[in-house]
This record gives sequence, C-alpha cells and structure tokens, in this order.
Amino acid sequence: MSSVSKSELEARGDGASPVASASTPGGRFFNSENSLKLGSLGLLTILAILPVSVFLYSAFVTHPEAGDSIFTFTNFTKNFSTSEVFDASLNTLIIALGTSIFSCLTGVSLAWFHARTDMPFRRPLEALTLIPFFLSSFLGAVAWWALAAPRTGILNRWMIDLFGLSAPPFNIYSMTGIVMVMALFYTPYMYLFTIGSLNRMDPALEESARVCGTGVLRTALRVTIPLSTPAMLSGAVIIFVVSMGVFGVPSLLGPIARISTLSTIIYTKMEEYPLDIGGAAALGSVLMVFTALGLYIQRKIIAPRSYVTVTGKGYRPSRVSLGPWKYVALAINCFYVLLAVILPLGALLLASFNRAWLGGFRWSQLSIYNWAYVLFEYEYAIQATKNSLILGLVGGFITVVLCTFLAMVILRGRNKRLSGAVDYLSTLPIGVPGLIMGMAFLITWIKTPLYGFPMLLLMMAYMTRYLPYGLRTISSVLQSLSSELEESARICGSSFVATIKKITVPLLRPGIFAAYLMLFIMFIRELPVSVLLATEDSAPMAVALYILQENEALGVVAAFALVQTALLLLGTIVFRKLGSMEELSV
Amino acid sequence: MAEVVVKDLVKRFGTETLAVDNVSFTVGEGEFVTLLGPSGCGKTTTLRCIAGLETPDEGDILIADEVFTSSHNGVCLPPEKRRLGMVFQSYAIWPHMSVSENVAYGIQAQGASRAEVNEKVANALELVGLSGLGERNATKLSGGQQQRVSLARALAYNPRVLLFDEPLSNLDAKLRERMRVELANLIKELKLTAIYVTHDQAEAMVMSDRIIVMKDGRIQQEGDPHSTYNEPSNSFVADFIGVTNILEGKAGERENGKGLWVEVPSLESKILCAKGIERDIPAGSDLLVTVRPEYIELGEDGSSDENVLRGQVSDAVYLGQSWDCLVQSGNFELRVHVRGDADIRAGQSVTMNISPSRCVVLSD
Ligand SMILES: Nc1ncnc2c1ncn2[C@@H]1O[C@H](COP(=O)(O)OP(=O)(O)OP(=O)(O)O)[C@@H](O)[C@H]1O
Ligand SMILES: [Mg+2]
Repeated sequence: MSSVSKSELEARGDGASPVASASTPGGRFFNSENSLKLGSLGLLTILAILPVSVFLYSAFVTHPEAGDSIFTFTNFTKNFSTSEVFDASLNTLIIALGTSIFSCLTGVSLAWFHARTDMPFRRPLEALTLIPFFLSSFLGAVAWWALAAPRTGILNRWMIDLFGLSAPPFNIYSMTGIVMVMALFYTPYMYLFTIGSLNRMDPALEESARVCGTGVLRTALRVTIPLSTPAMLSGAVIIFVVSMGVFGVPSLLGPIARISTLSTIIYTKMEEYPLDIGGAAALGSVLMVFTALGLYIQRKIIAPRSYVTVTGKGYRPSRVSLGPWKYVALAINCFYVLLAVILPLGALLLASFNRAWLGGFRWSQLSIYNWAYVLFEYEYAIQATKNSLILGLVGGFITVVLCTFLAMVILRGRNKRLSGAVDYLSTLPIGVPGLIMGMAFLITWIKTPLYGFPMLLLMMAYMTRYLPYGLRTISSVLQSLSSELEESARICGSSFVATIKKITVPLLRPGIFAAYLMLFIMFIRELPVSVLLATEDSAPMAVALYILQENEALGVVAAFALVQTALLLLGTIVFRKLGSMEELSV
Repeated sequence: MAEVVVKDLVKRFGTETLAVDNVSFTVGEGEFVTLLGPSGCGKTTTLRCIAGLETPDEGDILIADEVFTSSHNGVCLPPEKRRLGMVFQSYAIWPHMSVSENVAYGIQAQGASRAEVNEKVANALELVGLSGLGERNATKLSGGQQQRVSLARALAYNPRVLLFDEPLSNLDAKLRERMRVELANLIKELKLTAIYVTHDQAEAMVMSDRIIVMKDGRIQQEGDPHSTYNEPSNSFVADFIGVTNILEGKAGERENGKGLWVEVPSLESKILCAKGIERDIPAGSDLLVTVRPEYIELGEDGSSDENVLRGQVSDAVYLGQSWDCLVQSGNFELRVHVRGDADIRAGQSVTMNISPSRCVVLSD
C-alpha cells in the first residue's frame, strides 16, 4: 500500500494539467450527459410525438379537393351525430365497464385465495391461472368462437346432443359473449395487479382484526380488501382503458350481432371504401382522450394513495384458514381455469386434428392435414410466422436496447429536469391505443420511402407502442440497484462508459432478459398496431389469424392459432425460468 | 503532498435546500479528519463534492495543488480522474464479482499488468485480514467482511486520499468498536490521508486527528478531539459532543489572569470562567456557560474560594464506574458525574467545586 512514493504522487499530481484534463459536468449545457438526454428526446419525438401529432392534425382537416386542406370540426360533428357512432360509443363503454368489473371480481378473489388463504393446490393452479396472461384475448375469441358459435360451437353441439335441446344454448356472438371472453382474458392482469399488495401485507393487520373478534370473511372484506383497494382500483382503471381500445375481440365476435365499437368503426373507415381518414382520426382522438384521462386518474389520483403495509423486518406470512370453504375456493379457481384455459385450448386442439369440422370431433376425420398445411404449405401462414419471429426476436431486441438506454438516461445523471422530460415522453405511448398507434404510423409514413419497408415500419410502431412496458421492467431493476455501486467504480478510476459496461449492464442483466422476453411475447401476439399497418407480405401472425378466420376452415385457423400459442408458451416457460434465476441472483 | 483544500464550498439541491453553506477546511498529508454532525447537516454532500460525485455550485476543491473543482473557471474533474478511494455506508460491493474481482477493479482501471494486479490484490486483502477469501462471492460474506472488502478495494490502487461515509454504521455495536481502532491504526500505519464522515461522536473522538463539527451545512468548530470536547465553541457543539450543563448568565467583571465572572441567576451565584473569554465580552451582556458533569467535584466546604456551589441530590443513578446525579442548586438542576466508589443518596446535601478552567463561555 505504502509502496507508492511521495514523489510518484507528486509527479501524478503535477503531471496532469488541471484544466486540460477537466471536463465540466455542471458547467456548460451541452455536455455529454445533456447531449445524450437531448438525443433521446429527439428520438422519442420522431417515434412518438410526430405520428400522434400527424394523427391529431388529420382529425381537424378535410380535403375537399386533392391537395387542399381546410381546418374544420366537421370530422367530429358529422361523425358524432350519427346513431351508428353513438351506438358504438355506448357499446365501447359497456364492454370496457363489463370487462373491468368482471375481471376485477374474479381476479381479486383468485389473488386473495392464492396470497392469503390455505386453498389447496395453489402452486400448480397459479401457473394455470396465469396462462391466459401470456395468450391474447383475440386468441381467446377465436377459441370461444369454436366453442360457442350458435350452430358449429362444440359446447352447443354437446348440450344439444346431451339434453336434446331444440336450440343452441350459448351464443358467443353477443355482448355477453364479448364481455365474457374479455373478462376471462383480463382476469390474470387483475390478479397480478393485486397479488403484490396482498403478498406484502403484514399479517398482523389481519390478525389484529381477528383478535378483535371478526370472522374470516369479514376480515377479508373489512381489512384485507380495503387495504389493497388502491392497487385494485388502479388495475380496474387500466383494464377499463385498455379494453376501450381493444380491437380483436369485438371485430371477431361483434359483426354478426351487429355490435360495433369505436375501434371496429375506425378500422372500417380505414380499410373499406370510401376511405375516411378524417373521420377515423376524429373517433380515434376521442378514444385517445378518454384513454389518457383514465390513465391520468390512475397515476395521479389512485396510485399515490396506496397504503404502505410492509412493516419490514422478518414477518412470517400466515394464511387464513378457510375450513371446508377452501374447497369452494378451489372449485372457483378450477372453473376459471376450465373456461379460460382448458376449454379454449382443448377446442382448438380438437378442431386442428379434424380435416373437416362440423361442430364435433370425429375419429373418422382424424388427420394432421391442418398442421402440415399451416406449417409447411400455406405460404401466407408460413410467411406470417417468420414475420412474427423476426419482429419478436429482432424488434424485441432493439426495443430492449432502447429501453435500457432510456432507463439509464432517466434514472442516472444530474440533470433531473431533462430526465423528467425523457421519462414523460417515453410513457406517453401508454395513452395511445394500439389501433391508433398503427393508424398514426400509417398516415405519417405512407407517403415516404419508409413505407417501402413495412417490416421496419412495423418494428418502429411496436417499439413505440410497447416502449413504456419494457422501460418499466428495466427501470424497476435499475432503481433497486444503489447508484453507489456505479459511483464506487467511478471513484476507482473507471470512466462513465466503462462503468456502464462492467457494472451497470451486468447487474441489470436479469431485468434486461425479463424485459426482452416480455416484449417477445407481446410482439408475437400483437394485433391492434399491425392490423392497419401491415401489408400482405409483412403480416404478422395475429393479422394472419384475423384474415384466416375470415377465409379458412376452422381446422386451419385452430392449427395456426395453436402454433402461435406454442410460441407464446415457449416464451413463457423461458420467461419463468429466467424469472426464477433472477430471484436467485439478487 | 496530499493536502486537501476545500474553499468556500456551496451546494444547493433545488432552490430550497442549501446542503453545504460556505464550507472551508484543509486536510494535511497523513491527517485523519472527521466531519461530524447530526443527520442532514451536509457531511455526505461535502464528501461527495470532494469525490466528484456532486458538482458544487460554488467553491474550489484542490488536492496536492491540482484543481479538482473550481467554480471560477467551471472546472470539475470527473470522479475517475481524481484517484481517490471511497468507502460507502452500504459498502457498494458489486454482487456479480468475486472478492478479488471487486478489489482488482480499481487497479485494472489504471491499466496495470496482470501480475501487478494479482500482487496488489493479495496485498490489499492481507492488509484487511481477508487473505484466502479472494474467490468467494462477495455478497455471501458477513457484514464485517464486506466492510473489509470495500476497504481493500479502496486501498488497493494507492489513492491519494481515502474518503469514508459512515463506513461502520451498519455493523453491530461490538464489532463497530473493534473496527474503529483497527481502521484508525491501519490508516496511520499506511500514512494515508483520510476524510471520515460520521454522526457518532464517540467514533470521531477515537479515530480522528481533527474533528470538524457541522450543522445545517456550516462548520461549527474545528479542532483536535481534546479541544473540541473541552472547549466547545457554542452550545450546539457542547451539547452534541458528550453530556453537559448549559447555564444562562450575565457577564460581570474580568479578574486579571484568572478569568471572567459570570452572574448565573438560576444558581443564585457567580462563577468564574477561564475558557472562551478571549473575545471582547461587554459587562452586563447575556451569555451561556457550559460545564461538563465530570468536572464538577463534590468536596468539603471551604476547600476552595471560587465556584463553590451548594445543593441537594435529587436523583442518583449508579452506572458502575460512576454515579450519574442530578443536584438541585438554586433553581437549576445540575448534572454531576461522581466516581463510582463514592457514597451518594438522593436527598443528601452536597457542596460542589468547579475549577474555573473547566467553565467555558460559549459564543452564542
Ligand atoms: N440528491 C439530493 N437531492 C436533494 N436533496 C438532497 C440530496 N442529497 C442530499 N440532500 C439534502 O441535503 C441535505 C444534506 O444532506 P447530506 O446527505 O449531506 O446529510 P448528511 O449530513 O450526510 O446526513 P446523514 O447523517 O443522515 O447521512 C439534506 O437536507 C438532504 O435532504
Ligand atoms: Mg450521509
């Protein structure tokens, strides 16, 4: 230690000319940190602000003659005075409200069973309960269409055969059908929103209520649930907002019952003659305003009210003993798994192995034709699978790199005001429903050379739309890393860039993997952004499924849906594996 | 040559928080200086400014005549160019590296050869008593061992100055006391210059050559442990370091060569103070006097002619080596420490003597 001599120290001290070797982190505005932050702002402006602005602008102009544009409100007045739009708005609200209420009821009960009670088989059931989270509601709609379409639905056939009914008992082409499918597939979201706060809750809070003489159910209703109310409300609002913008389910199950929503009307206006960009943009901007409003309420009013129920030091999580009621809880959970996982996947599986489908599985029709067809022969489907894999692997990778970069720009460094601006801009896309993001990208870039590279455009749109999700995953890991870990590396003499390479990124690795796999899953199942933006050659799997469902036999659709499911479940398994690795390493 | 100069340092956070308010001090080569103060007084911020982790709003920081930070020409050397060592309260051990990788990091950053790195790592680990633990996963070590790793990491590359931010506060009491001595000895042995931040006055007393007491971002007093304890400059320092009695009084006349008489109404008496009276104190002005409990002696009547007080013991707690007593004298309850072998009972009448050299007039 003392080996370094005084003269050596002196030499070092004098050798470096103070001014020459100095940089000025706080001195001038255009230092390296601020340039990075300004660069990120620029990038986000191109990715997010530009398309959304073009989109909003087009809601306020009409083109009476080619080349002319006039500022006007007609797009709004004309559209919102029609009964069609009025009905669609009403339907949108009913679907959103129904979805959030029902998914809230089931999701919260299931979360309570798993986190706080002694319900049996919790471990295997949790995995099953979460499967729908990794599939998509659109996939669910396809499966339920196979199950409960009035004439061809498997369930209807069974009921008619079994009980000799004269008419099919279930009709998935209805408001009830739409809300049911949506609620089934959004239940895991609600589950995940609440389980954290239930898990972290100090059991002493419940135990003291029990000591005061309240029963199990009363304690749950009076203490446990109210304590996690902010988390639940947050979840319910987010689900409400998301399901307002959902396109896949109503567009598949709605038309036959003449149920349209704002998103299906926007799609029609953009895809069918006469093209009405102004009208679509006007409807879309209203949808966007409501989405943004809901998220604002969630972030600014509900989320800050969460109770901190963690008491810190080593408490022993204890569970409520339900007595015989635990079998009721078990039955409820199993019924949910039946409706959301077993029946849908089972139906798809049965249908995919029958060459011709007439509403029931027949051994005589057993064949692997559908599988061979979608996997090896059907060019369009094969191309779509390739597209989705490219989007998921490459697009997911680029997005995760961007998210990591942005997370560091936001959470590290000294200029808090610029960090705030970057943070704000990168969260904005949450308020833009996928269909609208797709439309915004379409009308912004359609007349530019970029439109010649539809895969690239899709990737950009995905990146923008799903940026906030990846960012949140990575930032939460980065936030939990003490900045002292990086600071001590700087003091040891390693530069900013070397510190990121050797300390920050290795420590962030679990978070980066988690985000990558999450984005991969989201990109593989992505429908709303792609449905307007994708061309025939660049159609990803969900769009292909949407097209197939209109033109092909159920067996083909089912096989293709299962290929997508398989990719999603594969991603999920890797995701969970890495998730448990992450727990080990922290 | 490792002389640290901090001049007129000012650091604000936002518009309201003035974390460091015009702080100046120097640290000589091989000196161990402690920044001591209550929570939030700006110790850490000062240290981080020296390390280059915060950019001060005003002021200069020089080490060995090299300008690290200067508000005049906007110089602010990034931390990696300063060649300092720092030990954090949280240890900041990199969890993805082994013990020796942690220690080697700073040496590698200087571009040393592999053999040199190995040698220095082994050296550093031996110094802190961790030889043989090099291949362990650093996060699997005990708190005390992690502490040593982080010290070894900071020592390993011959930093010009070592900075410590409450490095011992996460250890349990026993270990903390042992590490104090061990750490201070090691640093003396290596003749290193150190700036140490703590809010624990006992730690500061044991370890430092010099203590700088801070409050609300300002320096309150600077001096060696002895003078800081025995001649506190104001009531904050007197109270923050150790236990004391603070008396309100009025300045009386000066007695040549002996001290200043202070009228203390609450004691219904006058006491002669010999310390803290170098400044000009107009007769009749209000002032504060501090007397440490252990300097108040119980004695016989008439054993001394100055500073004799009478009172009655109102409470006495036996602590083994001493008695901690409250003695009612006039309208004031004096805290008095008496040796443990004395015989003290509540209600007993006592006479107290205080040497004038133990009575310190405070500056506020
Ligand atoms: N990054 C920051 N942003 C805003 N305010 C800060 C920041 N760091 C410190 N402060 C404020 O500056 C003041 C001094 O903080 P500092 O950390 O230097 O105190 P300290 O003396 O080290 O206290 P402690 O003993 O609790 O560590 C405090 O009021 C604190 O709230
Ligand atoms: Mg501190």
